[in-house]
Amino acid sequence: MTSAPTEVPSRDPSLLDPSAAAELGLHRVGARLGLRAYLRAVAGRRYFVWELSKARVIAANSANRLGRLWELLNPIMLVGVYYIAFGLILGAHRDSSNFLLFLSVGVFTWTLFSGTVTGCADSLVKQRALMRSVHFPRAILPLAVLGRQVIAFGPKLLVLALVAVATGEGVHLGWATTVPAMALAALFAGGLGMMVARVVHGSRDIGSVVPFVMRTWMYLSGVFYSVDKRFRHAPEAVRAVAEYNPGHVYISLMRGAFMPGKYPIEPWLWVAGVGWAVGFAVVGFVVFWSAEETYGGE
Amino acid sequence: MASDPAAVGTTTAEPLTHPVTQPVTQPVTQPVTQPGTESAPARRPVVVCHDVNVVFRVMADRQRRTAGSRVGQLLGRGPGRRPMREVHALKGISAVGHEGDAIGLVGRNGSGKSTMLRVIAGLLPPTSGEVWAHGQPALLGVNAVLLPELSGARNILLGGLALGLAREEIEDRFDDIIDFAGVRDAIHMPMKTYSSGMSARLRFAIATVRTPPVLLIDEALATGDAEFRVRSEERIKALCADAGCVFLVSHALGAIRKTCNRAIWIDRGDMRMDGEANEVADAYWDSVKR
Repeated sequence: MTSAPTEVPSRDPSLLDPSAAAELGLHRVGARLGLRAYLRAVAGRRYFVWELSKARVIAANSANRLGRLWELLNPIMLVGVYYIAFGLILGAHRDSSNFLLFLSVGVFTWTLFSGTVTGCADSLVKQRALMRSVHFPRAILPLAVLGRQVIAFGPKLLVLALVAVATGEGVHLGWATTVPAMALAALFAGGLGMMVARVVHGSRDIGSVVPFVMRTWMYLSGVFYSVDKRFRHAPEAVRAVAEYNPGHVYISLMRGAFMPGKYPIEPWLWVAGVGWAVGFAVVGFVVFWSAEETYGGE
Repeated sequence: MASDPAAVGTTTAEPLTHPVTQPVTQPVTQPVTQPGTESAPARRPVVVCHDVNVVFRVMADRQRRTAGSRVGQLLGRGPGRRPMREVHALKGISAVGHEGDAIGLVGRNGSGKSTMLRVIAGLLPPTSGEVWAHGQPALLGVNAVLLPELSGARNILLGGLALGLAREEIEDRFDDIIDFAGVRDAIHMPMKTYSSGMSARLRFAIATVRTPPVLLIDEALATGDAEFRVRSEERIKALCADAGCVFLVSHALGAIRKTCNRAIWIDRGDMRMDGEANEVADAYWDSVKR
């Protein structure tokens, strides 16, 4: 039953030793790249990230007739619901002199976080078939989720500008600060998303908790109320946490851009925005990279 | 043929000398550092699999005992949690592939052939053991990348990028791909509107756009009508000629005999045999028939 072929080389025991394989100039398949090489590999595939992001936007909206318009209609309807429930019924409209714009900026900015984090949570688990057929740096998967949200945010900015004009805020230079504010928010969301992607891949059960955590975080981030006003009488430490919670920081920076007179921004908020963005992007990338070899396995 | 219980009986009853543990007394290849001086020149090893084990941990349903408790289980009231089952898919596979080798993998369904390919491709991390290779081995196939909602053109771009091609390279080969697949008229239509033959042809054309140093092919290659089958077989042949080393999983022993110079027989995760393609195919066929 055993074979002892003479003309076909089958097993040379010396070659079955990994160190011998290394000497032959072979490299270990599936070995994790060094951090810098990995970063370079991801950067080298940026067109893939971009095309995958665009493809996802198109695919997600191809089934319904209004197509990509739903990316806008969804948050607009959410604004309507929150306006009635929190603004009118619970009286949060007193928190801002332009509550409609205040609320719209909050809800629209939040969609970037919620969309990215919940999307990233699934990004590895749902793309198992893809990971099992083609080789590429897996960071591309959460990054494509982020890319998709960033692409979808362009039209949202336009809607926010329209709301600002319609509610009498007028066009002004401050709008330009939406770009750095969004860039920082995206960096932060991407870093957080990569961490979540790794954690959920390691333990599916945590994936079920993600939506609840996101919901809780949203309620604490002042999407439909003013943290300044509601936490005025809270202890100093609690107020600081509420104020510098990254969710609130980026929403505030966006509000400052659209309603400069009514929503002044402290310089410290920008510092916090940069800090959270850089910190989460770096840590998130490293956390994701360090488990690269395990993605796609059981 | 795979479900013949008699075959299982005979193969397991036989005292099986594990091929891997049995040292080959006369290594045919010389180490690469000293090129062979004999009639057969030394060929460079391009894939080295070293004691590869894969264990899947799956959540199994509880064993049923009686009909009564089964109802309870379905209602979620049965005692205990769902047990974790371990499935040992590959049990210490070691093999070396040399430059110019075309290696067939044979074995019954569920014996671990496809798992082996995925491990070699680096797509499935082995539980233990290592695979070393020259360059990045690649599985032939892009099905999982393509999105049926997108047009053929967009899918060509997406598939090409996933395979690691640069944007310009894809643009250069764009016309070749649509001509080969014969989908020029429908290239801007969503792929879900294609007939199954059309989309199979396009998927094949995208997947074969690039030649990896180590090519891994999993079954069911020739799809579509007879005319396309001929063309796709030619293309596979050309790919195999270009690639440094080819691994082919197929249940069609004829294809293994025709394309491969070597074959490995995997049985329930064990390597049963590694040798000349015809010999291995014969031995495998004998065990199946019995």
